[in-house]
Amino acid sequence: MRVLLVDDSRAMRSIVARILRKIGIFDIDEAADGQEALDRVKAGPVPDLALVDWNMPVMNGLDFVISVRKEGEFRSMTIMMVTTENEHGQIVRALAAGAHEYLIKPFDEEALIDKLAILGFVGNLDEASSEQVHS
Amino acid sequence: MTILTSENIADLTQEIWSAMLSEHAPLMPGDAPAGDIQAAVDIAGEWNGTVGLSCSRDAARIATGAIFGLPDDEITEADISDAVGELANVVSGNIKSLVPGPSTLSVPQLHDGSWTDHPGRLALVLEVRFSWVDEPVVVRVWTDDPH
Repeated sequence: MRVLLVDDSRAMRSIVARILRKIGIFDIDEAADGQEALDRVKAGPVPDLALVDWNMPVMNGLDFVISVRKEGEFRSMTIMMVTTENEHGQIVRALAAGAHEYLIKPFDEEALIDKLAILGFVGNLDEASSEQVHS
Repeated sequence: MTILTSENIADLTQEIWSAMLSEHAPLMPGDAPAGDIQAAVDIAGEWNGTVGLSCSRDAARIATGAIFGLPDDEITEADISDAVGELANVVSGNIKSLVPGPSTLSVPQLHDGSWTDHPGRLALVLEVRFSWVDEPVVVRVWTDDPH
């Protein structure tokens, strides 16, 4: 399983990456803004999951979601917003643009893992790890 | 109408500390007036103001080590700026949800910890003091909102 962390804060990327590694997700890529993330997605390989902040320089998270969803070839990528933006209208905008889930900062380890479970990623970890071991 | 109070700022800041720095003791009420460094984030839109998070250098190093998972001797100034900036960003984002919207957040700016005279001449309307790992942590809010 490949995850792309998109956040202009190295601190937040570090927090999320540590939680992901703790649950066995080690294929983690990082981008500091939406444009850098879009470039990485286009360059491939396409991540299975992108965790995306909203407020970032150059290109914000919402514009990244809109840009990615314009490209049919990236339809398989799951997107979860991870942001301090907690107004109902903002959440609706992000989901309408094509994000699958929404996690509000601050969050603890359990909250992130719960969201990954809702998206079906935590349940697939054993299977994914097993595939890696046998490949 | 603005509903910022010392109590709700204390609650949200303590919640943020619990979520992001859970391996350390919780953030408690304190009385030290300022730290050594401060990250400030502007809120602009329907409501305009600035949120500052000030802490001592020791508190900043401990928080940075916890956030990046680094031993003290490997922490750089850039790490400290990024960690304190992100804590300020999350505090500001949660304060933004308490004031009239829509509005946007700026990128965090680092200042001296005793910085209290807002360059835009906004009034310092709230200052909430905490103690964490026996070090000072202070959240400040400046605004021109009359409410």
